[in-house]
Amino acid sequence: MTRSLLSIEDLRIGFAGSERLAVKGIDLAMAPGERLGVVGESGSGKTLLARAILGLLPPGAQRRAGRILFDGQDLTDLSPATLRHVRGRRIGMVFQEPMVSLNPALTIGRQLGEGLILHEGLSAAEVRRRSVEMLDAFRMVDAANCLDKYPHEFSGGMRQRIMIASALLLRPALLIADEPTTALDVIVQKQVLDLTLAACRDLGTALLLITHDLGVVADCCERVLVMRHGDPVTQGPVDPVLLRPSDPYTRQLLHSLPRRQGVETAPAAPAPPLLSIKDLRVAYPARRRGLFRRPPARPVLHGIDLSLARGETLALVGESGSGKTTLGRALLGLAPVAGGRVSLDGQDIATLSAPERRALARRVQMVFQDPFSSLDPRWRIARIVGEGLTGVTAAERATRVAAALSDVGLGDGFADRFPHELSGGQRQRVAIARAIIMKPDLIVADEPVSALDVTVQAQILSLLKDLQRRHGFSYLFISHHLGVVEQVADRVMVLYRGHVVEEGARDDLFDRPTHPYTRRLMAAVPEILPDGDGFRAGHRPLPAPVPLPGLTPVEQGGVLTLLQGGHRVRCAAP
Amino acid sequence: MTRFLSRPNAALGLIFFSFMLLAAAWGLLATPYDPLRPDVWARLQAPSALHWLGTDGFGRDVFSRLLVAAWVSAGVSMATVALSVTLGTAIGAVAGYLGGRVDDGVTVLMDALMSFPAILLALGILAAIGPSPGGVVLALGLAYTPSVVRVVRGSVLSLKEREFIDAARVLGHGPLRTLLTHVIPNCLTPLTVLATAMFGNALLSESALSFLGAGVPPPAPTWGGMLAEGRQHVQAAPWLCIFPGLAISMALLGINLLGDALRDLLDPRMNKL
Repeated sequence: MTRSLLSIEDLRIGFAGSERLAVKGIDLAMAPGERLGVVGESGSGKTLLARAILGLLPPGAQRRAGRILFDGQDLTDLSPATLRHVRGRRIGMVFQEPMVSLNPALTIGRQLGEGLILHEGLSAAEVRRRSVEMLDAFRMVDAANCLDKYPHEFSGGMRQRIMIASALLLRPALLIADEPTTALDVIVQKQVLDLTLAACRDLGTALLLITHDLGVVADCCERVLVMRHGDPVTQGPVDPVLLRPSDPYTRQLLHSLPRRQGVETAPAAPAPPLLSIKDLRVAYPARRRGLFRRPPARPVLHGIDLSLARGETLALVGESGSGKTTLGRALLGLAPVAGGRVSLDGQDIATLSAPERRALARRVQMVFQDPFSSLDPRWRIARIVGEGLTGVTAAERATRVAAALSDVGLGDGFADRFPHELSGGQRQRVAIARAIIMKPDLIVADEPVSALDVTVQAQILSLLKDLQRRHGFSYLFISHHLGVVEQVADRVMVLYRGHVVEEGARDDLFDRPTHPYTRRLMAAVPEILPDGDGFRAGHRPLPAPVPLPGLTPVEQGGVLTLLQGGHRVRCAAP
Repeated sequence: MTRFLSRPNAALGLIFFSFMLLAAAWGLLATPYDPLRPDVWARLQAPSALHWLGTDGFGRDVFSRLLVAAWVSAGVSMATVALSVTLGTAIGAVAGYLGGRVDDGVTVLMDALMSFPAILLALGILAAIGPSPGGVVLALGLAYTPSVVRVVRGSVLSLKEREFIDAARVLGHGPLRTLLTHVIPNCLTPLTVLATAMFGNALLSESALSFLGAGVPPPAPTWGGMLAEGRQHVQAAPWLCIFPGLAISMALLGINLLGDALRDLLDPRMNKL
C-alpha cells in the first residue's frame, strides 16, 4: 500500500457546553493524488471535518479526540506558527461562496500573489508569471489583464475559478473544496469542475471534495465517504459504495434523487386555459445616476407567451439571470410589468378594478425558495398560516388553519411554535400551508426544494404532487434543477436570457432536446441514473441533434417554431 | 431574565436606574421640605441631620429638590424618547418601505437635520418657542428623530428583501398592514437598544439645556438647573454642585450599562451561545 498523504484517526468534534458530538469518530486515509468525496446532508458534520483538518474550526467547536496525520506530521500537535506553514502551502482550501471569499478591495493579482510571496518569497515578476500561468490553466481569457482587475468585475463562476487557481498556485499536495460549485449554474459548474480536476491531475494534487450532490461525487471522485449526523456511514470506492449501495442510508439517499415518474400525461385538454400570458415584458428600472438622470430600464423578459391548464404543472427552467423567477414574480405583481397581457380564467387582469384584482390575485399563491426568510420570525405558526384569511370568525380561522396544517402533514403541536423551532422541511410545509389555505387556483413555486436536503426534498415534492391531486390546482414550478423538474412537471419551458428557447411536454423535451442551449444544459448535469439493480454515474445520453435549419442563439432573435405535439423550439424566422 | 441579571454590569445598571425611578416616585409623592419655598435663615447650610444634603443659596432643601428634579428629568427624558421613537419609526418605516422619491426626500431632510449637533438644534428650537418643559420635550424629540429614522429605515430596507414581506403582499395585504404587522415588529430589537441610549442622552441634554437656562424654567428644580445655580457658590458650598452632578452621573451610568446589557441580550447571535 502506498504511503497515505492524509490520515485521520478517530476524529471527534463537539461544541462547547454540550456532551453531544457533531463528528463522531471519523477514520479516513487519502493517498497522494487521490480524489475523495465526502457527502452528507446538512448537519452531517462534513464541513466540520474539513475545517478540522486545517485547524479552522468555528468558534465553540472543539476537537475532543483523534489525530490528523498529514505527510506523517500530526497537525493537531503543531504550533499555530507551524500550522500556518502547512495551510495554503501544502493544503489549499476553497469555500462555497465565490462572492464573499475574495476581498473586494484588492486586485486579483494581489490576492493570487499573496501566498506565493508569503510562502515562497518570489520576486514580483516571478509571482506575476506564475499567476498568469495558473489563470491560463483555468482558461481565464486575457489572464495578464485579469490580474489588475477587482473581484466585482468577474461573474460567480469566474471568481470561483480564480479562487481555485489561487489555492492551487502553491502546488499544494491536498486541495480541500467545500461545496465549491453549489452556488453556480450547472453549465458553469461543469466548467469549474472539469478545470479543477484537470489542474489537480497535472499538479498531482489530491482532492477532498465536500458536497451534498451525489452526482458530482460520482462524476469527480474515486472514493467516497458518506456521513450522517456526524457518523461515518460507509466509505470506499465510488463503485460499489455509491453505485451499488448495500448500506440502507446510502440507498435511501440514492432513491430520494428526483427522477422521472409515471407516464406521459395526456395532452392539454381543449378547455380554456386557467392562465394565459401574451407577450409579457418585464424591465427593471435602472439605478438613478445623479439627481435626475435615469438610464433606460433593463429588460429582463422579452415577450413571453405561456398558457397553463387547470391541474397542470408547468416548469420553468433556466440558469440564474434567465428571468424565470421574474416571470413568477410578475404574475403576482411583485415585479414591474412593462407590457403584455396576463389573463386568469379568461379575465384580463389589466382591465379589472383594484379590489377585483386583489380578489383575483388571492387565487394565485406563492411558495418561496428560502424557508428561513419566508416566515416572519416573530409570528407563531398558526398566525402565519392564517395570515391571508380575512373576514372569518376566530373559530373558523382555527379550523381552517388546523386543516391546512394537517394537509401538509404537520400535527396540532406545531400551531403554537415559532419558525425558528422548526427544521427547513417543516418550515417549507408551513409555507405551503399558508398558500393552500387560500384555496388558490395557481401556485407559483419558486425553487421550493432547492434549499432542502435530498431526502427532505423528496418528501416535499411528493407532498406538492399529492396536494395537487387532492385540490386540483396548477403549479408554475420554477427550478434550475433538471432532475426535480423531470419528476414534477407535465410541461417544461426553457428560458435563456429572458427568451423562451424551447418548450414542450416533459417527455418530448427531456428525450428530444433540440435547442443547443437545452442540450448544453442537459449535458452539463452529472447524474446518477438507475441501471439494473444498481446505478450508473454519468451524463444524460443525448439523441443526435436534429438537423433543423436556423437554430439560433437567442441574441439573433428568431421565433418559436412548432416541431410536433406542442414541442416548440426557437429558430431563425423563416 | 435571570441570565440578564447574572451579568454584574446589567445588575449594577438596573440598580442605579431603579434608584432614579425610586427618587422620582418619592419626589412625586412627598418631600421632606417644599422644594420651592425659600428659607432665608437657612441659606447655604452644609449637609446635616436636618438638611441631609444641605441647602442652596435661597435656603431650599437640596435633597427635596433633587428628588423632585429626578421626576422632572425622568419625565422629560421619557417623553422625549417616546416622541422621537414614534415620529422616527413612522417616518423611517414609510420612507424605507416606499423607497423612491419619498425616501430620497426624507433622507436628504434627515441628513440636513443630522448635520447640526442635537443640542444646538434643540437650543435653536427652544430659543424660538421659549423655555418650558413641553418645549424641551418637543425640541429634544425633534433633534433625536433623525437618528431613529436612520436606524428604522436601515432595518426596513433589509427586511423588505425578506420573503415573508413578499408573502404578505401575495396574500393580498396592503402596504400599511404589512408595515404594522411585519415590518415594525421586526425593527423592535434595534429600537429598544437605541431608545435606552437616547434616554441617557436626553437626560444629559435636558440637564445641559437647563444649565444654559434654556430648559425647564426656574424655580422648578432640574439637575442641570441646580448645577447651574450651584456654580455661583462652588467655593463656599461645594455640595450644591457635587450632589446634582453625582445624580446625573449615576443615572447616566446606570442607563448606559442597562442599554449595553439589553443590546447583548437582544442580539440573536449572543443568544445562540
